[in-house]
Order: sequence, then C-alpha cells, then structure tokens
Amino acid sequence: MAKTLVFLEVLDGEVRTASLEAVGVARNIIGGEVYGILIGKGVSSLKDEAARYVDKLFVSDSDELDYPYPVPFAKTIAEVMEKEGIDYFLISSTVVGREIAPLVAGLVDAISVEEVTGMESAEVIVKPVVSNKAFAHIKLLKDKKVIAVKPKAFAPAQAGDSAGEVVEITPNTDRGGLTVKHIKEKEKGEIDVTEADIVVSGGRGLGGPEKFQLLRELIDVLTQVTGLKVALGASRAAVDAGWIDHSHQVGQTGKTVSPQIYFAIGISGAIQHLAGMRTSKYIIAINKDPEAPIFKVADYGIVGDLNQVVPELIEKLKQYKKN
Amino acid sequence: MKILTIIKRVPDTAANIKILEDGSGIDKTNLNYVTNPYDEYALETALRLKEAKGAELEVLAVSDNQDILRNALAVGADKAYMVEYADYDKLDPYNLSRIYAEVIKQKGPYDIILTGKVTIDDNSYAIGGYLAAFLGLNYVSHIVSAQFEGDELVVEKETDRGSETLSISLPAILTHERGKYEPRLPNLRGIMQAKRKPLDVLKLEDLGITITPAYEIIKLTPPPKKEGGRILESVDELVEVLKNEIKVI
Ligand SMILES: Cc1cc2nc3c(=O)[nH]c(=O)nc-3n(C[C@H](O)[C@H](O)[C@H](O)COP(=O)(O)OP(=O)(O)OC[C@H]3O[C@@H](n4cnc5c(N)ncnc54)[C@H](O)[C@@H]3O)c2cc1C
Repeated sequence: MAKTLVFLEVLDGEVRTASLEAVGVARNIIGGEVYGILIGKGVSSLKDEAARYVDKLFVSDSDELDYPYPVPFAKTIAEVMEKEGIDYFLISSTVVGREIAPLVAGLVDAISVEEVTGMESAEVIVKPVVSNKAFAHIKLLKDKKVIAVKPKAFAPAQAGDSAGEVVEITPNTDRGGLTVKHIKEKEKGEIDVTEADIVVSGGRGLGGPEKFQLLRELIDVLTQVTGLKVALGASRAAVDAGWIDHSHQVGQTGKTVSPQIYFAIGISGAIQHLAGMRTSKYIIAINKDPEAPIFKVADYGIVGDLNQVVPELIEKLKQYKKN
Repeated sequence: MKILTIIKRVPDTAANIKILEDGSGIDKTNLNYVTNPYDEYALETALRLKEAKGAELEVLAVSDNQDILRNALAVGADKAYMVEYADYDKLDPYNLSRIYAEVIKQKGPYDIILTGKVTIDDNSYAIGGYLAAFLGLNYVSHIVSAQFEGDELVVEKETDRGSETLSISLPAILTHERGKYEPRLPNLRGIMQAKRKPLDVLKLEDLGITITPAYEIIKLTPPPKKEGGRILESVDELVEVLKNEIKVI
C-alpha cells in the first residue's frame, strides 16, 4: 500500500486550499495512507483542523522557522519520509512548493515533477509543456516520487469526521545560509492569480495605472455576486509600464493560470500572454479592436471601449445583486 | 570568485509548435532554438555580479549545438562547457541535474551557480533544488535580482507573500524568475571575441555518467480545443452568459 506525505503550506495563518487539493490527489488517485506535515513558526495552532484531512499529521513548530526556509523544511520532510518509508511526497506547485519539491526529491533520490495538472494513475502524471502548447503524459519510473500539483487543477479533499493522529517532531532549524532582511507584504486579502476562480486582467489598453482601480471595483462586485475568489492579473505591457506589480503578470514570463473565468481587458492576446491563460475554462475578452488575436481564443467577446464596457458591467452586476 | 550559469537550449515557443501526429514529440522541422528565457535572466545577473566582483564567469549546457554557449560568451562569459549529448531534449530533470552536478564537481568549486527557475520546454522547476541537494549548496529560487552589499549576497524575490529581500551565504545556487533588468544582447565585438574564448566539449563517458531514465514521456497531446468564440452585442448579454451559461451568478 502506498504511503503519501503531503506538505500543508500555511499562508496568512491558514492551510492553503492548494494544499488540500494535493491531499485530494493523495486520497482519490494514489490511495493508501495519507500523511500531512505542517512546518513553521506557530503552525501548532492549526493542527486540530489540519488533522481532520489526513491519517497522521506531523507537526514541526519552531520560532526559528519564521519563514519557509527551503533547506530545513526539505530536510525535515526527507527525514520523515525515510523514517516512515514514504514513497510519495505531494506539495502544491506554488512558489514555496516549487522551491521545496526538487530539494526533497534530491535528498530522497526521487523524481520531481512540478505544475502537474492531471493524473492518469499513481504512476502517470499529466502536465503542460512547451509554454502550454502541449500536455505531456509522463510515466514516473523512480521508486520515490515528488509531485507538485498545480493549484486549481484538482478538487480539494474534504475534512473527515475523525482526526488523524498528531505527531510532534523536532524541526531541523539550520536555515541553510539564508537570512530574511525584509519582507514587504502584499495588501491583505489580495488573492494570488494562481489561486483564483476568476481572474480579471488588464493590459496596455487600460492606458494608465489609475484604470486598475476600475478593475478592482469589478473584482469587488464579482466577489460579492459570485462568492468566488477573484484576483487581479495583468499583461507584461502593463507591468513593464510600471502600472502594476510583476506578481500580477500572467504569461510566459509571469504566472500560469487556469481559472474558471479569465477576463482579458485591453489585452491584445500575444502568444506569450496566451501561454499563461489559454487553459482557462472560459475566456471573456473586452477589446476595442475586433481583429485583436485575443478573440480567437476567447469564448465570449465584447468589442468596445473598456472605459464604457467595464463601468456598465459593474453597474449591471450591482443591480443584479440587488434583485 | 567563480560563478557558473547553467543554460538550456529550448525550442522558441513563441513560434508555432506542432505536435507530431503520433504524439511522440513536437515537430522539429523549421523549429527555432533559443536560450531558455529564464536562463538569460540568470546570465544577466551573473554578468552583473561578475562585473561587481571581478569574478570569473563560466557557462554550462548539455546540448548537441554550441550556439547558445557562443552567445553567452559573446555577452561576456569567460569560458564555456558543453556536455555533448544528442538526445539532450529528452533527458529528465533528475538525470540532467546529475550531469550538471558531475561537471560542477570536476570543474568547480563555484561560489555562485545561477540558472532559470524553469525550463520552458519541459516546464521543469527542478534543477536548482536537485543541485542544492546533490551538492549540499545553499539555495534560493525565483529571484528577480541579486547583488553584493559588501561581501553579503542580497537577493530579492517576489512571492505570494509579497516582495522579499534575503541574504544568502556562499556557496549557493540561485534560480531566476523574470529579472528586474533585461538581458543584454551580444554586439559585434563580443561575437568576435567569443570565437577566441575557450569552449570545452565533454562527453558523458568522460564524466563517468550512465543514464537510467527517471521518467518516460508516453505521449504529447494538444491542449483542449476552444470552440469558436461568440461576440456579444451588449453588457446585458454578458450578464446573461454569466448567469445562464457559465452559471456563476
Ligand atoms: C520573451 C518574452 C516573454 C514575454 N512574456 C510575457 C508574459 O509573461 N505576459 C505577457 O502578457 N506578455 C509577455 N510578453 C509580451 C507580449 O509579447 C506582448 O507584448 C504583451 O502581452 C502585450 O500586452 P498587451 O496585450 O497589454 O498590450 P498590446 O499588445 O499593446 O494590446 C493592448 C490592447 O488593448 C486594446 N485597447 C486599447 N485601448 C482600448 C480601450 N480603450 N478599450 C478596449 N481595448 C483597448 C488594443 O486594441 C490592444 O489589443 C513577452 C514577450 C517576450 C518577447
């Protein structure tokens, strides 16, 4: 029987949904025993909740680990894997996950695959390659397997009625030569594009930084009427113009997203932008140029000036909510 | 101080990529090859560190073609290593990292190793982590810049948490996100000089490496086809679509 360890990443004091999706993969596709691991300063407070998702939960809480230092995190994970005879390590393919996954793989002599969007079996994974222009179906040949699953690609696990056993372990606190000098935190409550159900993206067509405020208004009303997670995205042209931070950029040199709905507003649809969003379930484009390439991949399009279309959409959604 | 940048030769994905009929790979006729874009950012940062410290900068690729290494020499790298391997594009990241690690053991030590956060052909983020584990190096991924403040190497990264400023002690491996500055292009003088710079060709046999595949690509399939889009005449129609077709409101 397979044994899987899932890293439960904590962000803003909560276990990320993306990690619960990884637990879902372990439960529904790999099967066998599913263990979880929480590492970091103060994670003990989450153990009761987290234990409801797994058969056994390892908790490694230390004031020293006030940041996801990759080396001690990976060493702690590798030790648990060796001691418990674990064959699979699952993690969500976030920045933290993609950093830790191959390090763990190197320590336990495993194959590491990241950005996994599908699994045909416990041995065969599916992931986008060549800038999302193809999906590779890959058979993993090593005994130990490290799989980083792309957020939003799998259904999250549901909490069970009973909690798994909680095992406190001594963390490895050697920070691997890394020192945190300064962290400028994101605006609170801002959702990352890779984790959103709906992404509202703006491009050069916005004409200036102030127009992102309009998109934020649209995000607020969409959040209210859908109850879903809605995030702000951008094209590289908007990022390069300095209108918005690079963390919002979608595309080949930005983030890859596949939300339920992707709004491309004032974005032409350059191939490098499409590389980051073409696997979205529904693409809705708003562009004044009927020839813009974005309309070729869009499921729905409105040809018009965003300065009229977006405010009208905000108004209509507000009315819709009232009724 | 010695710096190494690891680069990979990848298909230019901005071009039209066609999957072969039988799904065994991508159609290589008329395919253009480029340096993996994230490795270019890694190289740019390496050049800046070299200039700041008067360091020596070497570049490494596993390939069957010297073009990207000559390019790296033309923009300012001092020396190149090519591990000659015809099927380099089929190597899994585990074995590719083993090869890199062996070269580093034999040609190093290096104080700083830089490479891209991801290689866009196989969409693998694994090289940095594997090398950190295989070589016992300090490690940080997804950086957007790196510079020396005195003797301290300070890196910036952008994550889901925000913008982070970290310092890392050497020796270390860093993987590069899209950088804060655009990679420089070679000029004519650089291209001429590159012809006289050393480029050592190594063979797997010389490195004592045999390859047992860690994964097998069974097939490639195209992304799900989008049906023809629909142009909507009004915002009211869009609201209807959200309600009745996408069913989110
Ligand atoms: C190596 C490399 C990597 C790259 N990586 C990325 C990446 O990760 N992400 C990315 O996005 N790009 C990337 N690019 C850049 C990409 O090629 C395009 O330049 C970029 O996506 C264009 O952004 P845009 O669509 O916002 O701007 P434009 O192409 O200028 O399009 C603006 C659009 O807005 C429309 N518009 C203008 N005014 C209005 C209005 N009032 N109302 C409605 N519509 C309006 C216009 O019709 C036009 O279609 C990369 C390029 C390279 C070479």
